[in-house]
Amino acid sequence: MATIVLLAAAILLQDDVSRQIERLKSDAIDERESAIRELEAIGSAALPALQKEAAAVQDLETRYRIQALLKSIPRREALAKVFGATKRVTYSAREAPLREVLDALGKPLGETLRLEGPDAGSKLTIELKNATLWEALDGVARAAKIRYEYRKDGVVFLQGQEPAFPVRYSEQFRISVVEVKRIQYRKPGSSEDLVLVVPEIEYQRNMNPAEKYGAFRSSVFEIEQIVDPQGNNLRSRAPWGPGSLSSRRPFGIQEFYYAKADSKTLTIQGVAKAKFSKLDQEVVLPIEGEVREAKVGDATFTLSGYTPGATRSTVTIQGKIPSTPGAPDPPLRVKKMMLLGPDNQRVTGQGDRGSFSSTEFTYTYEFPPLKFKPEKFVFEWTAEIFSIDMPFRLEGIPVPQPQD
Amino acid sequence: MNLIAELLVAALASLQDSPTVTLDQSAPVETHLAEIQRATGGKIKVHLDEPGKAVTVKVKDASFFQALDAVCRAHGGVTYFGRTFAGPDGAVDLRPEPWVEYPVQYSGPFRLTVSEMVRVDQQSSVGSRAWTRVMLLVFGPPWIGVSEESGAKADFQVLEAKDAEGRDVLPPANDADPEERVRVAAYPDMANYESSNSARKALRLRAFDIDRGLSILKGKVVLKVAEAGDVSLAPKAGESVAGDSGTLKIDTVSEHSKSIDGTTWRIQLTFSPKDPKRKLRSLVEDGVGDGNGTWRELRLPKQGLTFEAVIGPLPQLPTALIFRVRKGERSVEAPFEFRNLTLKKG
Repeated sequence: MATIVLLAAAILLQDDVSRQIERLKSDAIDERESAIRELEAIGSAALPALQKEAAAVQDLETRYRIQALLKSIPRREALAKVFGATKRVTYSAREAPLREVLDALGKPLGETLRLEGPDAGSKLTIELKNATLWEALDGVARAAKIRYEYRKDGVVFLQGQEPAFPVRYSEQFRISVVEVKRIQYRKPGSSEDLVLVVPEIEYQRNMNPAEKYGAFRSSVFEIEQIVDPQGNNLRSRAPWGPGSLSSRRPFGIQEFYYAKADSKTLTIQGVAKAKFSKLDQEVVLPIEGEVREAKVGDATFTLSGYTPGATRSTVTIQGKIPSTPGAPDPPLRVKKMMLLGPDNQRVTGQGDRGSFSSTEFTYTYEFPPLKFKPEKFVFEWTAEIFSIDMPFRLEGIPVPQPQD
Repeated sequence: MNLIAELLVAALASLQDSPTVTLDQSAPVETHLAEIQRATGGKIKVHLDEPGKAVTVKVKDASFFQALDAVCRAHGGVTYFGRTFAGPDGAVDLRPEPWVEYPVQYSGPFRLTVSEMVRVDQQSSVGSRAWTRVMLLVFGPPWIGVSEESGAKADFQVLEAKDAEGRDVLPPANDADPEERVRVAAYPDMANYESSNSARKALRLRAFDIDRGLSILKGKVVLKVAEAGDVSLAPKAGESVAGDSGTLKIDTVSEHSKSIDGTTWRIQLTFSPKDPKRKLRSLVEDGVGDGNGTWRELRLPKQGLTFEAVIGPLPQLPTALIFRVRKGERSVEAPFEFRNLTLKKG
């Protein structure tokens, strides 16, 4: 009897997989997005049918979506092993007060959900089925016509709405666009009309990026295409140079790209690549003494110089580390540099300059003038790293049009 | 030998009585430039692809920059315009590049230029908004520092701004800058920046059609400036030199590193100002010379009066270091009024 029930369930599941694969071919973005989410929720049971369809399908766009699913579904299990399961919630409410909805969602999501501005008594209707953290937060914001910020001390809901940017959900991650600018630039001999688009990966707060901000720029997004609805390439470069991000939100990794301002909407497609720390280990190096060396696993660190000064003090270290393919550059794996003195006196420092290869590095860190004699140089070393590749496609990104 | 004081430049031009020059002949570029230097005292360095090229220049009682622009315009293939037009020694650096005309106003000894316009229409998770930025540059002649880097301050004030239709595009007073995830105005070509003799401000205005430009952009730059005098100091611990604003003393001289090119020294100095409220940057400019004509930028701290000069690599420690010590600080105004301001779409 149990076998028959299981068989029936398997048949129903495969019917559902086939139905969702058909929906992937829809002309409607919402329909396709919904199918992607359903197939990701079904998980590895959908893989055989997806592999069969990938070999048979003629339409290149559909094939890309299927191939992205063939990569993203197995990743779920790997992610769960490293960082724990994705926060998910199933919940429905009809005409419920906003505060009540937030109270109900806070515990299963493991988040503090606060209101700063929106009316706690405003009513909303919402239905969440096995929704990820990000799907749930977006669902509340959409239903209540408000927005939220995922801050270090919790989630805060605010007045105002986000622009209608496309979103992709992938387990612990939310991939979207946070900003689009149309830029008209005039200078004698050099004038441009460009669009600046800022994709972003947001991640759950239990995750710790292996690289710090600036360093993400070269590795976070591998954008394969920026195209208009007809598939024409719009990718471009700015005459004022690449520039740099100047504002970020916590738990978000952003990147920006330029495109020609020839279309009212854009599609960006590529792979989001993020590196998260699996294990950070504290390294302690004595400032004085014969042995100024520490070992962490197969890595060896030596303090080769300490120079006190009236305007700044510097510490130079050398590291010999095992080669780790795909790891961030070694100096980026050194974090939270501190000089410690007696009575727990401490001062934090920052990287100054140095050189490195994949297996060795020499780097100098600078500190402000010290009011104590330091005894130890302490830092955190990112000992193990987990790399995640997430194929994505964001369609229908609106380009602002100039209006006086 | 505890006190060595040597003022290398004695004659400094007055800010009020800006020196002028008259050019009225066909002569090699170098001859015109030499006359500008002689008449104004402003140092000019020149690197020409085609030395000795004769050009005809006619200007009467022109300011340093008016005369310099006239020479560059007549030549067509030489310019000084750029992010940094003068080195740490304050000399204007002419290089062989095409001369490009920008909207310009001469205000006493100063040159005011609109270099770029940018309009941004933004949709963002932090808000949707549109605005325009007009980049205004003020250049000071070699004898007047205008930027905070050179110890001065430049306060840009826009009094009137109207678009081509005559609509007021000045933002309301106390209007906060737009919140942005990526700040385009922070990019090198669009940012506020300062070099030794220039200060640039990205003036934010309401959104307007930048291809039609502005019918008027009027205002002033209030500058707190001073004259800079070169002061020579032997690089030895304990040596000091007294200037108008205080005493500069060497605390330590130490070898920093050695390479095949020579030795690099770290020299720690402390300034003791006569007025203890004065900050280091208002007393010393950000360049140091090694006495052989080579100047390097100093990394002057924003706080405190102790700083470091890194010299080298050199085969040996120089016998003298040159610092630019400021004196005679005062406020001056450089008014501007651009009419029918457009930048051609390139």
